[in-house]
Amino acid sequence: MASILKREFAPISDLAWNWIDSEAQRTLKQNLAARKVVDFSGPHGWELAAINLGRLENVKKDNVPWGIRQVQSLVETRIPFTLAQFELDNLTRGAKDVDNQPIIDAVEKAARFEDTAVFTGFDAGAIKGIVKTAAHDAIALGEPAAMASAVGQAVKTLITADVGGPYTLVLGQDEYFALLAAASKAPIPPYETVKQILQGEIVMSRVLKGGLVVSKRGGDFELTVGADYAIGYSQHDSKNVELFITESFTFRVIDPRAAVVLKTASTK
Amino acid sequence: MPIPLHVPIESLTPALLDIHRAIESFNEEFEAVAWYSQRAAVATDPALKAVLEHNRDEELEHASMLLEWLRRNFPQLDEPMRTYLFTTLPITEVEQAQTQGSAPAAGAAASLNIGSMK
Repeated sequence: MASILKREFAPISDLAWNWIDSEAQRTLKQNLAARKVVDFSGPHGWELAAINLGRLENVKKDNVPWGIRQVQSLVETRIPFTLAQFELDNLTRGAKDVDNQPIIDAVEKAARFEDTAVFTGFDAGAIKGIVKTAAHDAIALGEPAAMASAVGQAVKTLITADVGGPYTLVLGQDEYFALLAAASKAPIPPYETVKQILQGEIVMSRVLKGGLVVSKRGGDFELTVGADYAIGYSQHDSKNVELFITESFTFRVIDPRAAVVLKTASTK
Repeated sequence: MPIPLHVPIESLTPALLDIHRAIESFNEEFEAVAWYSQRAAVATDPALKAVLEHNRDEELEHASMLLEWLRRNFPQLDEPMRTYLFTTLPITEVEQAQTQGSAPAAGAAASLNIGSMK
């Protein structure tokens, strides 16, 4: 029976499908940051259209009092990419340097979309990201040598708000590499100092500007996935085959007190 | 003929005894089906033949109700029934076909199985 992915109709061998899937998996794991930080619910399947928010809205006191149940719809993404059939055939011929760039480009786009929605939000999908909902005043991140101080203040803020750890620092790409490369007069490099303060991990995000300190105690941030990332088939001609990467998801912040924003000049 | 108990009745749970009763009743229904079918096949009066066939069909309905009760209350029965019932392949090929179906070829795979990375 054909699925929504229609993979069985593609002129692609099992060997090539395995290669496409493994390239996509590798790229997703390399790029996704939010899933290292937030709770994951799912995958619940294509049928899941919305999550229950557990509240009523538009409550009316008519003859029969009524209200509408609140839900948050899932966002479904579908990003196309094209592979050359002849190049895929080269896999069967034993080629090891098959052009994977179209896969990487599409998968990176898909990963960035999810991470952006989680960290900074996606208004059209009613997703409020962690940065915009964080309940505490943002703390200036500063230069790499001063990052430990900023992270220390953020951890203090969370502890004071009764938000337990462990804590994770999510840093934008520029800030992450700056911290990684930072030298120090002290025997312990700033990167290690920050990890000691957190008693947790440092995660790099390719979409975040600045940083976030979040609690990993659980129950504060929820990524709900209907259909998890998968590759499907759209169409082909004599030369090319068009595929897509898809997923359905939504995200919500349950406790805004569980995050502190570390701002830089470019933090929105 | 009743199915004898092979262990002391005190050692059996009420649930298992109910399953035993249902299996016995199921056997009796099918035993009746066999009797009615044979008698209907040789009955010389058309009206009697019709009554016997009607009764046989009633027993089949009773047997089906018991089978469904057993499926709901005898968990080990559910899976094989889902495997074999209402299929069209040769019966001896059904299990193999389903096993292959649970390990689909790459072309039919559904997800990249990324899941949580926390």
